[in-house]
Amino acid sequence: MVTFLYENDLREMKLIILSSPLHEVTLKILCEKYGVRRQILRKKLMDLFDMSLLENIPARYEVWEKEQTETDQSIEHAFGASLITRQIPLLTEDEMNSIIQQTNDKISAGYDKIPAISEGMTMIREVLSS
Amino acid sequence: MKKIVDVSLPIGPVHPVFKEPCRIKCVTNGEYVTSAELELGYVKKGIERIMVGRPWQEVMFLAERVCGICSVIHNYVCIEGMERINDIPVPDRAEYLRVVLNELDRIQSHLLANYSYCYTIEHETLAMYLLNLRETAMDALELITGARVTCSYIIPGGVRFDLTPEKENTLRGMLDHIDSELTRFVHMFKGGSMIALRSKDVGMFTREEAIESHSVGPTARASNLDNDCRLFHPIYKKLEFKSILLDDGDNYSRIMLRFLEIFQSTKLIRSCLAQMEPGIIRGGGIIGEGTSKWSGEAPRGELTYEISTDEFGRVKKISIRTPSIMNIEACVHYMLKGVDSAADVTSTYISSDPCIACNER
Amino acid sequence: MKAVQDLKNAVRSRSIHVCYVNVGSCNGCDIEILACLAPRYDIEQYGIYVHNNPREADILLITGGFSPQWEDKLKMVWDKIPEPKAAIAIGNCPISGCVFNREGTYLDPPVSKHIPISAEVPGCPPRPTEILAAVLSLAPVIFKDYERKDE
Repeated sequence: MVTFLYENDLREMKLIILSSPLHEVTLKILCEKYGVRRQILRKKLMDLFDMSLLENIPARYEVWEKEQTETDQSIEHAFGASLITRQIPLLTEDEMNSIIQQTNDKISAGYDKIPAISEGMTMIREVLSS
Repeated sequence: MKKIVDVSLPIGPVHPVFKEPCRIKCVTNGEYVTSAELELGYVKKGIERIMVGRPWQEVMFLAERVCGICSVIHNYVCIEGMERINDIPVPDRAEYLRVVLNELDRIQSHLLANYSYCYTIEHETLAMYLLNLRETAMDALELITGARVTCSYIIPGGVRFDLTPEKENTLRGMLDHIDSELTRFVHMFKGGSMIALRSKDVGMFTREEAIESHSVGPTARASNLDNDCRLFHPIYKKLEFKSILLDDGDNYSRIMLRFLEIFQSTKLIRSCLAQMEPGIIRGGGIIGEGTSKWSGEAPRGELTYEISTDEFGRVKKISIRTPSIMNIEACVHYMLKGVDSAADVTSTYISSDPCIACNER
Repeated sequence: MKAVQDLKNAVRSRSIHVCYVNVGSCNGCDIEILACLAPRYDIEQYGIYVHNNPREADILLITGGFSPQWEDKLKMVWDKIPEPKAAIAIGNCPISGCVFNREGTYLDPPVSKHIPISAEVPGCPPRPTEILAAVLSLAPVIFKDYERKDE
């Protein structure tokens, strides 16, 4: 059994970081994009990230925002695949790839694109709230 | 989150090489670092919350106290942002004096950063030389503003004190001193195999990683990513500013870039002094209702202030994005990964010029 | 035992080891402490050494108003310093909280609530010479005849 010498509960400090004005704005956008409740997203972020990454969330979101183009119609763009795997790594690459794969399969099986994407979003939401 | 790993190497919060408290938790395989995490929260002051509801006369002093090392640029960007709200005109001479002060602040900050690096790799001689040279820059700051650290020199519509011809001469002498001494030290750093070899190919940071983590300032410019805010600043455009880029992305190029930027800063100050014409330095102005977003180039990179005020000039909402937020994140998650020994962990960390007080505000 | 005590006094007056801890300052005071190291002020000519290691320190310099994360840790650092020891508060923040002691802050000044403070150097930030003077004037008061103080 490994015991840490000075390990503290950091959740309080992490919550303070997440409640700064810039983070509030970014989290609101993320919540609207994926349809998750803010507290659930916060909990997920606090569990997964260390404090320097938490501080950097608004800047990383901005990087992703700059990369996007208006005309991009791909599924990856709709999911924000690189956003939640690379910039703000909430999902692992494998999880994201399998969701994209399933959605692609549905579309090639004659399914409509918009409901397929919204089902994919539901899958992402499930991973986020788990 | 608690992780169970083979060897976990915690450094800090009180550690001989850290100027400020923070805790790096490295996951190591032998001495090879496989990943690292950073624990903050030791200097959280909540300055954005204190600023809300206060008049601009108080906020300009509070902004300076976000960070003590680069206090001038916080003052500069905060005031310029507020000036954008009401379009307060600034006299030409004041604009140049602001640049002079900002570049002096950059010189002392870069010298301090390089001092810390040399001290961390245990080359105390060069470190002490650099720290002594920094005192010259501090003297120049004191000569112009009357204070060493928190100057509060820049105010809406101008600056507080003029630069008399005698002081200007003294300043020129100081700049010559900095240039001639630093040329020697840079030669020592370049030529000293113990220093240069120990820094080359350590803490690699590629351009792609720099883009991904939105890293800014010398840390990004050493990886050939140009995002210098001075390129877009009206007064720097007049001075024909061009940013310096290096493309190795290791500790050596980060330190070297700071040395080169000091030479560039002294050159900028000289051209300011040459272009400056006598005139008024303070026009005055009152801040009213509005919002603005303004960025400036701090010694560590891009600094952004988003301010919204009410009709009496009280701050309704303010958010500050300091350069250290991005640079420390880049350092911990990209540079430290793949560092060969525990001794290189601290030197790599210091080479990104971290400022925890900025980071946590 | 007076001869031994005199020897101890002589040695102690030339070897004051200093550790500095930032418990929530803006860095301004820290860099002024660092500036003391510069050959201009040359802190070592007075026999003061900055090591930043609590276990070999005699004097603890504290900067910054108190951040809650330090609640247990500052006490731990203070306990690690061997006797005789003293703490000096550098700057306004550990004394009163300075500009940070307003509504909305996360800090909890003054530091003297948590550990005993022997001397205070006000200023925002104080000059390096003032810090030097404070250390030099406090050291004899604390360390001279330390073993014979109880008598």
